[in-house]
Amino acid sequence: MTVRTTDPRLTPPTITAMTQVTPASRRHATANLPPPEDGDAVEVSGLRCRYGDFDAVRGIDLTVRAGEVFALLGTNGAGKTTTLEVLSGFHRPAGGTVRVLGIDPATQSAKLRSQLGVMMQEGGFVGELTTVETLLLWQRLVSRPDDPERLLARFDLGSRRDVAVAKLSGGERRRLDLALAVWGTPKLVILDEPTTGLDPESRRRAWDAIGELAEAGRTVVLTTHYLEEAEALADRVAIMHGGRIAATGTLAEITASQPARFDARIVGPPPAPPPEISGELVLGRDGPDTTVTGATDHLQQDLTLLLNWAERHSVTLEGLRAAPASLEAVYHAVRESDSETNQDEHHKTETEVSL
Amino acid sequence: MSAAFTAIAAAETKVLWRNRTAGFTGVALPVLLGAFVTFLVRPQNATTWAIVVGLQLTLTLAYGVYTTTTSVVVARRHALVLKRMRTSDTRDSVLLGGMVAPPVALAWGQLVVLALVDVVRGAPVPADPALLVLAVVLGFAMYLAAALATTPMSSSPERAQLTTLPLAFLAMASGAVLPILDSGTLAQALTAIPGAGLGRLAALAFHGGAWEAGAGGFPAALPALLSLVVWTAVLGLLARRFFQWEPRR
Repeated sequence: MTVRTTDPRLTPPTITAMTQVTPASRRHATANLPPPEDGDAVEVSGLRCRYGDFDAVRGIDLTVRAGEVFALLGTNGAGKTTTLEVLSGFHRPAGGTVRVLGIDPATQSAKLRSQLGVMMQEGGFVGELTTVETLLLWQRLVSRPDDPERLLARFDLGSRRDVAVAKLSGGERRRLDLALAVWGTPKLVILDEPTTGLDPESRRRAWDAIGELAEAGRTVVLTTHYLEEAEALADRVAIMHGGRIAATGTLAEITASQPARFDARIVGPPPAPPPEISGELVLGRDGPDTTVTGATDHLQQDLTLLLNWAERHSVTLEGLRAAPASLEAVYHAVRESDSETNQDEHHKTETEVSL
Repeated sequence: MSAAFTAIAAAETKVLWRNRTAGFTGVALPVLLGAFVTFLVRPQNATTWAIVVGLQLTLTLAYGVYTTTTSVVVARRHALVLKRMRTSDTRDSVLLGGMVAPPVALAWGQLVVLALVDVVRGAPVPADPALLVLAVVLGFAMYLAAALATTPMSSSPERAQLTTLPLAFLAMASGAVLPILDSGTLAQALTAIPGAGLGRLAALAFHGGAWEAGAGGFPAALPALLSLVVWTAVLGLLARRFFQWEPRR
């Protein structure tokens, strides 16, 4: 019997590189480094943000522990960027309390800046300056020391050092952006979609850089559309939808809230009715063959029932695969749950989406 | 002067140098126009030199400081450069100061060049040079405040070329008219226009008698000085209240 631990349909090829910087491997790598600071780097309670009549963030609670990598996931318009803008001190919230490194970013952003590295969703470069001139300018603006040459090499921009930023490709600009954000290894790094537009190699380098920050005990808060990125980098994840946090926790905690899935194929029709299992088991037709798909909260127990049934009836379960729920499954469940909730929203004053 | 201020100012100077169009309109055009006025008016006496110098000051400050500063700040805001710079730990005043320093320094340089042109063309020494210097300093302050106050109304660099036109036109028109008027009621009224006091003070600096009693028994220079000071304060307050570091959503 072959039981795979991941579903290859949900896992892109770049997952191979991921193993270098997964949160678990990072913890192993940091075993000999001083522990990160205790306490919470970010504390958000009841945060609400509005743009005119639009409620971008609708009362979220969020805690990011010092030294962890925290990923905010969500669709466009979920409120991720607005949340990061509040944490960075760019946006004054309509309600709630926010503390970043113990500081209120709305009223003391100047005090916060010296400890913060921020990568915005869009550039913010003077196009006429070259790559190295941009880094040299940044060197004068930031009190944390770092070396422009190190960052040029780190982000593979050495060959583009004397090229005007306006002439860099989108991916090169994102790398330069990331270089500025991690300049001097700030205490807290806020990254808004750091790898959007990067090719796989550049993405891996970006992941490595984020991994290095975590190894150094720094706190990273990032948003991403790439679920595999969150899986690779984040110690904890929050899924935002419609301005609310729909789920938060470690990957294991979040995926445990959804049923595990399995599937297989039987050559020809099934010789007997399928076994009764605690979860859901569906037999379908695919030409002359039968497809077997199931979802269950008790994977081991139900798989045993299925395998015993196959043994009794001399059935080969070809290509049997079983996997815990993926982040993608949770993500889609949140979206579906939220749209169902929205249909009933006129009956409620406030809806809490729970998984 | 902090390293951040110098670095931003140096970067902005590089940008101005590399952008040929901005370089020409920001560097050469005010000087060429100012020199052109000298050759156009062909001043012969203190009165006509007052007109020329008043126009040169207004042209240089309205164009070199007001329009250029507005364009630079709006362009940097539009490209999210201001927002990014605010993620550094440099103070806002230093960020903004470094950004506007090149246009200001450039305008000082242009005024020096124009002064040399005027001297070569036979301009007399002003009767009250201190008043002329005071007028220039107040003019710089007012046009800088005006530039920062205009940026919230300018959603893009292209729009900034339009939003700066009204004040620039008003200032230049009053700069051309005021020096040739005596201190009558019309002159007093026109002095209230933002920037108009500059031409008036230039005229008084060349004629003398700035501190002698004028209309209403007040020193002749007082209305123009008050106009510049009050407009600087009003525009400064507007800038402080409405200035935006990133494009409006």
